[in-house]
Amino acid sequence: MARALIRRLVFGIIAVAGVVVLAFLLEFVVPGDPAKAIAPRAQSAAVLANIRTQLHLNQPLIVQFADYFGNLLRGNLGTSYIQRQPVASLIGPRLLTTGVLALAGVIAEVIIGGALGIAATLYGRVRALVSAINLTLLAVPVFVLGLLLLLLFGFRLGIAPVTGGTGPGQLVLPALTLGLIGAPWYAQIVADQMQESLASSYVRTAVSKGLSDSYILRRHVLRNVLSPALTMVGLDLGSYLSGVVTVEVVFIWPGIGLLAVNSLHNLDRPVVMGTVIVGAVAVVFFNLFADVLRMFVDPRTREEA
Amino acid sequence: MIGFEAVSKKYRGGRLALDDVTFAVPDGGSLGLVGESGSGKTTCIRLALGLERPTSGRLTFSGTPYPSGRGKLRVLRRRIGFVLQDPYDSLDPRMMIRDIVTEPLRIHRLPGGRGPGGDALATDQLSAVGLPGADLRSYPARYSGGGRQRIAIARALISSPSVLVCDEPTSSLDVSVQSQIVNLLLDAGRARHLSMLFVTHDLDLIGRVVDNVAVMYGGRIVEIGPAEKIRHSPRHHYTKSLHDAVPADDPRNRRLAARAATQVLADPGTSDGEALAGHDRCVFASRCPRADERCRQERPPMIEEDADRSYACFYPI
Amino acid sequence: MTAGAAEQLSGAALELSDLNVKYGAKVHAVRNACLTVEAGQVVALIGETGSGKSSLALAAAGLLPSSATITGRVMIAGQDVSAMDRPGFRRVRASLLGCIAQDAMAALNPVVPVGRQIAELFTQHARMSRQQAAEAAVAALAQVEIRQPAAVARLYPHQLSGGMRQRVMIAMAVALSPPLIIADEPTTALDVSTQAEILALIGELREGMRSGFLWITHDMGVVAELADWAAVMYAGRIVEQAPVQQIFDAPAHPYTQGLLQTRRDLRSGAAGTPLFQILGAPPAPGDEPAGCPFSPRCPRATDVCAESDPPLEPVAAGHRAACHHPGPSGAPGETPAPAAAAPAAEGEGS
Repeated sequence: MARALIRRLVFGIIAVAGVVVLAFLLEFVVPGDPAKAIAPRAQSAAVLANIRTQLHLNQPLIVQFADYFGNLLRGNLGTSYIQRQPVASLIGPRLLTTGVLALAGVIAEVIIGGALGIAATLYGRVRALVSAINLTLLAVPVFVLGLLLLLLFGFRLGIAPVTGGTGPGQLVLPALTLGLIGAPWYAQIVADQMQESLASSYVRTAVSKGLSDSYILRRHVLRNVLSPALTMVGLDLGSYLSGVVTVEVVFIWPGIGLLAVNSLHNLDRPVVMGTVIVGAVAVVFFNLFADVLRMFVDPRTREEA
Repeated sequence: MIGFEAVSKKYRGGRLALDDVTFAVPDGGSLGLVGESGSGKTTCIRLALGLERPTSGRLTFSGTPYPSGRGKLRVLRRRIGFVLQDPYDSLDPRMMIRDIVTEPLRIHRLPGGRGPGGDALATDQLSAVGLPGADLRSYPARYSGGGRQRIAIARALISSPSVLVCDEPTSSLDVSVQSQIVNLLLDAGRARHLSMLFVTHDLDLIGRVVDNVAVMYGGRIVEIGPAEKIRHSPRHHYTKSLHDAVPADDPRNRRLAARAATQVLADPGTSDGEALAGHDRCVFASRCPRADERCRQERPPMIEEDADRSYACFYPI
Repeated sequence: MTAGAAEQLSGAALELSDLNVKYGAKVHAVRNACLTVEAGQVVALIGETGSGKSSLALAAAGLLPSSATITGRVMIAGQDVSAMDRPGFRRVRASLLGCIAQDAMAALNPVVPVGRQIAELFTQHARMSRQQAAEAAVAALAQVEIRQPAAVARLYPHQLSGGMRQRVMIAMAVALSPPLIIADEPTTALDVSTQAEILALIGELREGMRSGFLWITHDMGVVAELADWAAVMYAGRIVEQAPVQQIFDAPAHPYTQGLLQTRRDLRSGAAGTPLFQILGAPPAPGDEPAGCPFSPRCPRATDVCAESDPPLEPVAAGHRAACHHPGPSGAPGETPAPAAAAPAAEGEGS
C-alpha cells in the first residue's frame, strides 16, 4: 500500500514540475511588457531598461527559469508588479477564503447530489424527475445559475447579501451555486453504484440472511457507494482550490480565483503564475488525498495488482 | 511441434508462474496439461501462443525457437489455432459470425478474408463444426455456449493450422454438450493431422482425448507420461490425490463425504494450489502424506522410468 | 404421527407443491414442480442450463426478482412461506433457511471483513452483542475447519482462496442451524481437490445436523457422493425423481440415462474413441418444442411424444418419471446411441 502511494506522490511532483515550466512559459503568452507594468508612468527608456535588468529579463531563458525555480523551492513566489508585495502573502489569505468556499461547495453538492441519487434509486416514480433536474443542472452555465440565484435571493427577495465579503451570509449563495452545479455528478455516481449494489449477489446474500432493508442499505449498499463518491470529493476539492473563478467573480468572493482574474487583467504576471502553481499543487495534493481515502474505504484497492 | 525446454516464467513482483518446465507436443500427436488453479497451465498456454516470452529456457516450434519480432511471430501464429475456455468472452459480441470465423484469414493475409469468397469459406467451416445452416450475418448472442464454442473452433481451424491449442474448451459447458465438442475436436484433429495441446483440470477427460499427459502443480511438472498409465498407475502423490478427489461414479462407492476433511488441506490464507515454487524443495511437500525432511530440503529431479514416462518424486507410488 | 399437529411442529424441511415460475409471458422457467426434502436428507436437483433448477431454488428461497411470477405452495419446516408477505418472511427466514451460493466471491460483500458478515446473523437474529457475535463468528469459522479462524475473520473476501470463501458461505448458511439449506452448485467453480474437501466438510457437518439439503448440481459424481434422493430437471419440469441408488441403477427417463451414460463413458471408455453424446442441445427457455421437451433428442421418441407432454408418474416404488416410454435403455424400437460425432442438430435458435 505504501508503495502505491509513494509512486503516486512521485508522479504528482513531476506533474507539478511540469506545470511550473508551463507557467513560466506564460511569460510569452501574457501580453505586455513587465517593466511598463511595474512603472506605468515612467517616461525614459533608461528607467525601463533599468527595471528590466533588475528583473533579469535580459538573461537567457534558462537562467531566468533557474532563478525562478530556485526561488520557488525556497517558497518565494516572486513579487507582485502592481501591489509591491510578495506574491505568497497575497495568495495565502485568499487560499483560505477559497478553501472555505470549496468545502462548503463540496458539502452542498454531496448532500444535494446524494439525495437526488438515493431518491432516484429507491423511488421509481421520481426517477424521471431527477433525470430532468440533473440534465438541467448540467446544462446551465455556472455563471448563469449564479446570477439567477443572486437576482432572486439577493435583489428580488432581499434575503441574501449582494455585496462582496466573507461572512457566513455571503457564503450561502456561492456555495449553493457550486452545490447545484456539481450535484448531478454525485447523483449519477450514487445512483449507478446503488443500483449495481442492489442488483449484486452479495445483497441477495444479505436478503437471504433475513436482514432488514434498512440494515442492508446502511451496512452493505452505502458502504460500496462511498468509494467512488469519496474519490470524487477529493478531486473536487483539488479543482475548487485551484480557483472557482466564475463563482468568485459573480459573487465577489475574494478568493484565489478572483485574485487570478484581476491579476490577469492587470498583467500582474508573478501573481498569475503564483496562482497557477498553487492551484497545481492543490490538485495534486487532493488527488493523492482522494487515493488515500479510497484505499481506506475499499480494501481491494490497498494492494497494487 | 511445440517444445518447452527448461522454461521458467517470472512475473513482475516476483511471482514464479513456471519453474523449469520441459515437455513437447509431438508432430501429429497430442499432449494434455492437467492442473488446478495456480498450477501454471494457463501460463503455458500464453507462452505457447506467443503472448508472452519465457524468462528463461527455450520455446521451440517445429524445432526452431519462437521468434521475437512481431511480424515473424504473426507468421508463426498462423500455424497455431486456439480455443479458449469461456465461450461468452472469446467472441466479439459486435462481430457477425461470418467475420469472426474469417478473421484469421484477414490477419494472416490469406485469401478469402474479405469479399464473397469469404462467405463460402465461412459456410464450409461452420458446416464442418456442425452448424451447417447458420446465418452468416447472425451475432454470437444468438448461440448457446456449445454453439459459440463451435464457432470458436471454426475460427481456429480456418487458417489450416498445424497445432491446435485448447484451454479448458469444455469446462464452461453443460455436460450433455461437452462430449459433442470434445468429439468435434478429436475428429478435426484426426482429419487434419493436427497436433494438439489440451489443457484441463479434468483427469478423466484428458485420458480420453490425448496420448500423453503432463501433470502440473505449483508451476512445475510433477509427472508426465502416457495417459493410460497416468490414469491407472500414477507415480506422483499429487496425481494420486487428484484421482482420489474425483467423485464416485456410483453411490455405493461414495467415500469423499465420509472421509476425514483434514487430509490434504491447502494452507489457509494462500490461493488454491499456490505452492512455493522456485524454492529448493518439492512443491507438494506441504500437502503430501508421504513427505519427509528430504522432500522439504531438496528439490526432486525428474526421474525417467521409461522412455516415455517420468516423475519428480523421491518416494513414488 | 398424525398429520396436522406434527406438521405444524416439524414437517418436512421443504415441500414444493405445483410450483410454477414465470418470467413475463413467454418464459415458463419452472412447471408444476412438486418436491419434498425431509429433515436430515440431501436431495440433489440435477439439471443443465435452462433446466429451471436455479429458478426453482430461488423460488424456494424467496429470492426471485420482482419481475417473476410464482404460483404454487412453498412450505419450509411446516410453514407456508409462499403465503407470507415480504416483511413476514424476512422475519422468519433466517431461522428457517440457509443459502449457499455458487460464486462465493460475488456473494460476499467485498468491503466488509468476512467475520463481520457472519456476525451480523447473530446480532440481527440471535440478539447477541457485537462482542458475543464476533466470538460466535470465529467459532463458526472453526466449525467449517478453517485454520486460524480469528485471523481469517478479519480478512476480506478477496484475500481468501476460493475454497475458503466457500467455507465462509457454508459457515453463514449453517450458523443458525436452520431446518433447510439450499445450495446452488457450490462446488461447480472449484478445483476438484477443493471440491473434494468441501464435500468432505459437508459430510461431516451433516452428522451433527438435522437440516435437510436441497443441493443443485449438474455433476452426477457429486450426486453419487452426497445425495439420498435425486430429482432430474429438464426444460423447467422435474422429469425423474427417485432414491439415489435407483437413479443410478435403474434410471427410467432417457435424459437421465443419457447423463449417466455420458459420465460412465468418460470414465471408463477406451482412449481415443469418440465419447458418447446426447444429440442436440437443451432448449432455450421460452423456446420449447411441443409435447415432451426432450423428444427432439430422444432415441425412443415416437409420435405421441411430439404431441403430448408426459406427466410425472410412478414407474416403481418411490420412483417417478415423466416419459411415455420409461424404462431401461436398449428397448426394441430405440435408435442406438451414435458412435461417431454426427453433425449436431443444434440450430441457430438455441
